[in-house]
Amino acid sequence: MIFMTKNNNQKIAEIKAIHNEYVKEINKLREEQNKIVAEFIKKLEEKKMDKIRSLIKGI
Amino acid sequence: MGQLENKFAQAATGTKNEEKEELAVEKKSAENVEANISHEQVEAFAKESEDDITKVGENAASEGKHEFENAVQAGTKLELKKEEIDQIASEMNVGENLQTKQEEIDALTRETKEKISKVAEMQPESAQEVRVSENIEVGAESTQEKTQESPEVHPKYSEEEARKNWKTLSMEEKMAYCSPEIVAQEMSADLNLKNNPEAKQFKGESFSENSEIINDNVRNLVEAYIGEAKISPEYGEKIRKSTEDYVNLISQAQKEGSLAENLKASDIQKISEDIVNKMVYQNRESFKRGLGDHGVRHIIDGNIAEAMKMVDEFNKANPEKQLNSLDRLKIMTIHFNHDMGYTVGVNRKGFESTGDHKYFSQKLFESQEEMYGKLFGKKDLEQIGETIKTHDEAQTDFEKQPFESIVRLSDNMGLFHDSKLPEIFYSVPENMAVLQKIDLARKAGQSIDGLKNELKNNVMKQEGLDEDTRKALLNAAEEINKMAPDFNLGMLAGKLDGYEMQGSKMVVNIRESDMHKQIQELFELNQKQFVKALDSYGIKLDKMGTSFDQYVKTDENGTKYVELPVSEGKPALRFNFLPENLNEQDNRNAEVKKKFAETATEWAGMNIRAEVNSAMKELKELKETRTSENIDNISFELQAQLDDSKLSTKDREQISGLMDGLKNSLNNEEEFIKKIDQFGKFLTEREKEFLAVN
Repeated sequence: MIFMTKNNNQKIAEIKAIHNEYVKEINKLREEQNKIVAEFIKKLEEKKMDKIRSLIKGI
Repeated sequence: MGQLENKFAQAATGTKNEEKEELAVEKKSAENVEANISHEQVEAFAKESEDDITKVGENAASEGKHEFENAVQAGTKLELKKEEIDQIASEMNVGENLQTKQEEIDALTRETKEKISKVAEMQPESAQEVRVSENIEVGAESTQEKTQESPEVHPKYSEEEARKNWKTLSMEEKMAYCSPEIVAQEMSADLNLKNNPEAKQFKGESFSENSEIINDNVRNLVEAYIGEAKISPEYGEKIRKSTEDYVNLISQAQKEGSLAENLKASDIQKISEDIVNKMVYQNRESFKRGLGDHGVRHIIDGNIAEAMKMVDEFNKANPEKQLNSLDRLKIMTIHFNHDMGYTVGVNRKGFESTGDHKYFSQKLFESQEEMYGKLFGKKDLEQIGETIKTHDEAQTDFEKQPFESIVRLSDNMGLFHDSKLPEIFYSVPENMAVLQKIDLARKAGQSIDGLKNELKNNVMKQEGLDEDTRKALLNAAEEINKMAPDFNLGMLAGKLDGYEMQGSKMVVNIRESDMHKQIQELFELNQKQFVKALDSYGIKLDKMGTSFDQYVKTDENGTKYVELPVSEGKPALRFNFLPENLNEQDNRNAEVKKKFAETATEWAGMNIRAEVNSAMKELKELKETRTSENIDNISFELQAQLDDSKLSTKDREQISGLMDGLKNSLNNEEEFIKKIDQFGKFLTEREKEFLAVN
């Protein structure tokens, strides 16, 4: 019975470690996702600037 | 089916605060570690952790989607046109890149939950069966409780609004959009026959003395659907044959003693009709969507056919624990029902909710427990429902869960089902030439809409196609997109070529044919489909910074292979990637090869891509060459080296106009670069005609 308890404690610790590792990995993926979107926004802004420049040139 | 379509489809609520998430884990674990902990407590802790992980995963996936939507909105606020925003998104592959990330998030979440389950389980192996039965009992009780005590949840929004807010809905709220009654009504309305076939009367009550009559009635029903154009003769015959196999398996299972002897003919008749109806309906619905095939081709030609081959191989290698006819029946039942969730109203548009189709499919099946309960026992029904829910998961273990593993593997192998679509494209060299032109147009940065229309016209004109196949081909043509024609054509990378069980490991042979090889070379597919197959088992080559060729191993016979470790370092699957079989060369290959060569020669004789690129190179790379005089020189040289067979008078005028544009933007670098790009995309009249560009 003592053995079982110890074993279960270990399991809890292991689950905790897996969970923490997951949070770490998922945050990396979140960052990568955000980077993709940030680059997209940057390009949209550049496109807008292009349009403004063309307009100014037209005037 | 489903992994490809699960992009953006995970629901999400939950905290954004990652630190809070970590603290919660710490706190829970600290509370538990201090006390004497029972197995039940470990399981409860694991369950909580898994729930947390589900939330965090859903939240992360949803963030990406929302951020993207916000970015598109921001683009609109910047007064950019929708086409401009789409173009930028398309050029940057934003959708595809985000989808990859979301798939990685899904896989990480799934794998982590599996790891936690494994740690929490740690039961003696012999307890497997006991656990199954325990779970079933608990499941049965909770279902009962649900129906007796839980108040009915009504849909929170309209379907359209629900799709927009899908990620904010709880699972209970989502399930409110899946009404078995409504699906049954819609199916019945869609399949309504003007002339219902008359059912032959049974000789007595028992199934065993009436199985032939049931098969006759199934035939009549299918013929009625064919007669009223609800299904093509070809697909109708496949449904009839598959249902007949099902009925015959019931007889076989009775002989084996795995099914009761006193089954009633009328009950089996109802089930057979249900299968026919669902197959005809799913096939019809599938063609309405561009999501890929969930009809006869996927379910009968693909999943069931492959699953049965796997059962044969498993049984050969495991004579002492063979899967019997009842198992085969259950596998067929799962495949007939596993994608029914796609027919639920909210899944008919968009892709926000389609990822949850498997939960809907399970709910729909479980709503028919009374009918299917006349054939299967309670445990079997539970197993069917559960496996419908997990049909697209990667977890594979032929030692402990051969049944579930076969269902999942056959569904995951959808990528390699020897599809008729490429076969038909391949049979008509003209179509292959259009695909080749699509690739040329893509490389020249041109629109492929005209060529897609050409392909569709060819399909429309093609004789000898049944209407379902024609629709499928039109869908396939429509789904080819500029940035990734290979996405749709990926299925051409190889075909399934048999299975073999080695101990507890299933060997899956995937063979390249000369057709696959040619198309791979043409579209530079570069093992893309194999990479995708590995991806569905959680092997992310791009994340690992390695290529397919680097990742695969080669055995002593020179066969390239990949083994997937599933648990304790023991692989459950081995994929052999076999080269083409030189003894089985396709006769059509020579003709297609010739057509490819002709198209390439024709293009080489007219296209001015190399000259244009070379003319632009200097101006693009060396700023000091950007002078009015140099531009005139370049224009002169370009036009001088191209004779009238390549450039018409109109082409020459256009080139001069573009050169003027370059000269006029000499003082504005961004504008100049834009003009260079514009010139890079310039097509002569002949090129335009060849690539069907307006």
